[in-house]
Amino acid sequence: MQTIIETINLSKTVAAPEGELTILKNVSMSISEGSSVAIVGSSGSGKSTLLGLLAGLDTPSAGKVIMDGEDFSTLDEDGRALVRAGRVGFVFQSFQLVHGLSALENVMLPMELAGQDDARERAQQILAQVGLSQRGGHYPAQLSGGEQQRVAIARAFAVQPKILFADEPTGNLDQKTGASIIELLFNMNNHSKTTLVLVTHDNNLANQCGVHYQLEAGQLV
Amino acid sequence: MKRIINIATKLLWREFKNGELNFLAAALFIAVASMSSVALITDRVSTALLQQAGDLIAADTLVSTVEPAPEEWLHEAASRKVAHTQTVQFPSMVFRGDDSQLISIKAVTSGYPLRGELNTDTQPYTEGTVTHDIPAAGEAWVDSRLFNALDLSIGDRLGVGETSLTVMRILSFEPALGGNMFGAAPRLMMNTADLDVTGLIVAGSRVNYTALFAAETQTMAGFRDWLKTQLRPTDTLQGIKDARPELRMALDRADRFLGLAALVAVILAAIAIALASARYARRHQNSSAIMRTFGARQNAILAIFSLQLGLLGVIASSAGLLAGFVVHEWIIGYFSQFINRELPAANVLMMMPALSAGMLLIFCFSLPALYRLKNASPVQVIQSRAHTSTRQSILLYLPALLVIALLIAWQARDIKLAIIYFSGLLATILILAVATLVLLWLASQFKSRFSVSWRLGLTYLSRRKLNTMIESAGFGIGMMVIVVLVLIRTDLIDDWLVSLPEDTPNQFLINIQPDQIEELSAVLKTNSSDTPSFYPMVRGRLTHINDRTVSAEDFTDERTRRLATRLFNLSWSDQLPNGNKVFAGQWWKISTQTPQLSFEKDLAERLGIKVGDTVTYFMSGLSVTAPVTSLREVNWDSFQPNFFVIATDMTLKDIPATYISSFYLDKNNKDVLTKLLRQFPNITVIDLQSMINQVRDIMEKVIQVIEAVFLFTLVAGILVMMATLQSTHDERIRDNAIMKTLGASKRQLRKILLTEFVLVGAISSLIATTAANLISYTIATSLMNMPYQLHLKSFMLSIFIGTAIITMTGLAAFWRYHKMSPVHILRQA
Repeated sequence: MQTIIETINLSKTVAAPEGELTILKNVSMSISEGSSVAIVGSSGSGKSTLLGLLAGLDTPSAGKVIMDGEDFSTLDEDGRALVRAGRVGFVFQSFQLVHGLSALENVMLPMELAGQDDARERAQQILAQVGLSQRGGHYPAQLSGGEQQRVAIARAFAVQPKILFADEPTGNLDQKTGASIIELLFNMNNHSKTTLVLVTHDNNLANQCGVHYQLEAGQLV
Repeated sequence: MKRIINIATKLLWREFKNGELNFLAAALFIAVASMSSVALITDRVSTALLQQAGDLIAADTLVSTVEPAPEEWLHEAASRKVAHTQTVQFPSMVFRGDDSQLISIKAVTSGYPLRGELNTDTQPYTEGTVTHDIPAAGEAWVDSRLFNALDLSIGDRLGVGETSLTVMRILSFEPALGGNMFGAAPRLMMNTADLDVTGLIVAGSRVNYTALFAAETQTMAGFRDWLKTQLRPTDTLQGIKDARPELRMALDRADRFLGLAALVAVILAAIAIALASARYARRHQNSSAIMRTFGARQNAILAIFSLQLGLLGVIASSAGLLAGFVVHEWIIGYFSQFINRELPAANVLMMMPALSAGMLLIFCFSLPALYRLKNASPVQVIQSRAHTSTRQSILLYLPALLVIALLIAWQARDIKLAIIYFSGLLATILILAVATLVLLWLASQFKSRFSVSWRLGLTYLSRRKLNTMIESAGFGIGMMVIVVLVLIRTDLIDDWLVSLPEDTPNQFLINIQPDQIEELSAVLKTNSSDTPSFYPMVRGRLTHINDRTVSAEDFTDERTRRLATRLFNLSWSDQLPNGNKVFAGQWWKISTQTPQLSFEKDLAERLGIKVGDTVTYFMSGLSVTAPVTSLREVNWDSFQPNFFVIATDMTLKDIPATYISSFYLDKNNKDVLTKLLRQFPNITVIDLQSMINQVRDIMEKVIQVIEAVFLFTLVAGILVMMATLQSTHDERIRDNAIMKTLGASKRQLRKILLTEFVLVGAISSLIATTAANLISYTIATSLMNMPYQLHLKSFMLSIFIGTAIITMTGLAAFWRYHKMSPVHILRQA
C-alpha cells in the first residue's frame, strides 16, 4: 500500500517557565493509505501534539512531515492549509462545533469553504447517515455530547477526506455513547475507505485499529 | 471571491439569526443613529438660530456702501433665488413748525425687512405690534425718541427736505441694530419712492446704501462667496456674526454646547463598538481556527470576517441612518413648538459623515481583532494552551485612536476642545487601569480580614486583572462622559443663564455730559434697583502702531480693515471692568500716573498689536500715544458697557469726554424714558431689550436641544455599560456556573457578584467623577470663559449614584443566570 503520511525524526520543544520542554523526540513513522492507525499513550505523552503535527496544524521544532507527497516543512501556514483542504477531516475530543451555527450549517461549512454547490443537500444526507436528520436546525448548545460528536463526524466526512484525524473522539462521552460513536466512526471509515489516524488512551478503542503506535514521554516505543 | 462573499453572507445571516451579532449591530446602530440625528438637529437648529439672529439686521447678509448696489448683483441674486431689497440711510434735519431735529432717515423698498419684523404703534415707547407693511409713499414712520423730541401726534406733517410727509405710525422696533449703536440718531422711516422729491440726495451727500440679501443657508453661502469677489473698495459685507459681538458670542457658545453634547454620544458609541468588536473577535477565535483546520487560507479567513463586518456595518449603519432621521424629525417636531419660524429643510448630506464614521469605527476597532482571527493557530482546536500569541504591534491600534481623534475633532468643531477631550479620555483610561491595579493590590493585602464572599469576589477581580481593568475603564468612561454632560447641563448652563439675568441692563444711555451725572444718577436710582455706573467715553481714530502709520491697506481681512479705520470708543478706568479677564500683560495699579492702554484680545490679534507695542490715537485734535500693557478677554454677551480699548485716567485726561451708562427698565415702566428725555434732551437712549431677548432665546433653545441630545447620550452610555458587561460576561457566567456546581448558594454568588461590582463601580465612579470635573473645569474656564465651581455635594452624590448604577446594572445582567442550571451554562460556554 502507498504511504500517505510519513514523519522523519520529528521533534517538538516548547518554552516553559522552568526551561525548554521536549514534547516529542525523534518520532519517525509511516502511515499507509486506507489503514487505521491508533496512537496511544498516557496523558501528557505527546499524542495530541503529534496529531497536530501530522495534520500540519502546527510546525515541528525539527524533522519533517510529508502528507500525500507534500513536505510540510517547505510550506507556510497557507500552503499547509491548501494541502489539508478537501483532503483532511477532523474529529476532536471537545467536538469543536461553531457555536453560532446550527448542526446542518456546521456540516455545510467545510463544503462551502471548498466551494461545493450542493453543500446543503450533501450535509442533509450525511446528517441522516449519522442519525441526526431531525436535528439539523439545532444549535450545538441544544445537542447532547454524543449528538455533537455525531455532527462533528458528519462534518469530518462531508468533504470525503482521504485522511481522518480523530483526537480522543470519545474522551468527553460516557461509555455507552462513546461505543456508539466509535461504531459510527469505523463504519463510515470503512464505507469511505479513508485513512484513519486516531489518538486515544483507551486500549479498547485502539484495538479496533490495524496499526498501533505507542508514545511514551514523547518517544515511540 | 464569489465563494467568499457567499460564505460571508451566509455566516452573517446565520449568526445574526442566532443573536451572535446583535450587540455589535446595536452598538453601531446607536452610534450612527446618534451621530446622524445630532448632526441633522444641530445643523437645522444652528441654521435656524443664525437666521433668527438675522432678524436683528433684517437680512442674512448685507452690503453697506456709498453707492446703490450694481444691477448685476440684483440679477445674480434673482437668478440664485436669493431674496433682496435695498435701503438708503442718511442723516438729515426734519422740521415741525419752528422745531427741528437731527435724525437718521431710512428709506425702504418693498420686501424690507427680509428677516425679522417691524413693530409699530400709535403710542411712543411700547413694544408695538408686528406689521408686514412699509411706509406708503407720503408717509413717515418715526421712532419714540423723535416722536417725543418734536412733541408729535399721529397725522402731523413733518418737513423732510423739499417735501413733507405725514406721521402715520410710531416705529417701536426695527431689525437694524447692526453697526455702531453709539452713533444712532432718532429714526424716520419713509418709502424710497419719496426720496427724489425730498431733494436730499445730491452729489456729495453722506448717504449709506445697504443691499440686503436672504436665502436658505446653502444658497446664501454660495451667493455670499460670489458677492465677496464683486466687492468694491468702499463696500462692506456683513453677516449677523460680524454685526454684533454679543450675538456672535452667544451663537458660538451655543454651537460649542451642541457640538459637545453630540461629541459625548459619539465617544460613548465608539467605545461600545470597540468593546463589542473585541468580543466578536474573541468569540470567533475558535471558529476561525476550525476553518483553518478545514484548509481555509489566512486571507480567506480575513476576507470572510472583513466582509461579514462590512455587511454588518452597511446594514446596521443604514438602519442607524434611518432611525437617526426619524428621531431627528421627532425632536425637531418637538423643538419647532419653541421656535417661532419655519425650520430650514433637513440637509441629508449632514448624515454622510455619520455613515462613514460608522464604517470607519467598526473597521478600525475590529482591525486588531481581525488580525488575531487571521492568525488564529489551527492547533488551538486540539491544544487549548496553544493560543495564538496576543502580542500585537501597537500600530494596529493606531487607526482606531486616529478615528476617535478625528471624530472628536469633527464633532467638537474646535481643535482645542478636541485636544482637551481626547487627552482627557486617554488619561482617564490610563488612570482607571492603573488605579484598578493599585486598589486590587491594596485589597489583596487585607483580603484575609474579609468574609468568604468578599474574599472570593476580590480573588476573582484580581485573577481577571485584564477583565477588571476593561470593566472599570468601560464603566468609568461611560460614567465620565455622562457626568460631564450632567455638569454642563446643570452647572455650566445655569451659569450661562445666570450671566444674563432678568434684570440685565436693557437701556443704554449715551452722550451724557459730565455735569449731568449727579442729577441723572438720582433719577435713575428712583426708577431702577441698581446704582448706575457711569463710564467715560471718548472717540478716536487709530493712527499709529509703534512707528507705523495705520491704513486699511495694511490688512487683508475686510472686517479688520473696517475695524482699523473706524472711530474707536475708548474709556478709562482704574479697575478691570466686570466680565473682563486679563489675557496677557498686567492690569495697572489704582491711580497709575503713566499713560497706558489695554486692548480687547481679538481686536489686538486682528490689528497685530501685542503687549509692549506703542499705539497712537488721534482724538479731539490731539494725538495720544501710550504703551499697551495688557490684553483682555471681554464677555460681550454680558450686556454691560464694554470697550475695545481702555486707558489709564492719565492717558485721556486732556480729552473732552461724554459718559455712558446702562440700567434695567421694566417694560411696564417705559414712560420713564419719556420723562428722562424731556429732562435731558441731549442724551440718547438705546433700547437693547430685543437684543437681550434674542440672546436669551438662543440660550433657552440650545438648552432644549441639548436635553433632547442628552437622551441619545444616555442610551449610548447604557450601551457602553452593557458592552462592558458583555465583554467579560462569558467568563464570569462560566465561573459562576462552576461555583454553583461546587455548592455555592445563590446568596453567596450574589454576594460575590455584589463585591465585584461594588468595587469596580466605586473605583470607576470615583475616577470618572474626578475626571469629569477636571474636564468641565477646563471647558468652562478655557473655552466658555466662565468661572467653574466644584460642588462637593454633587461630587459625592455622583460617585454614590455611579456605584449604585454600575452595581445594579451588573447584578441585573447576571440575574437570569442564577436560575439556569449550571450544566446548561457550562455546555454553552
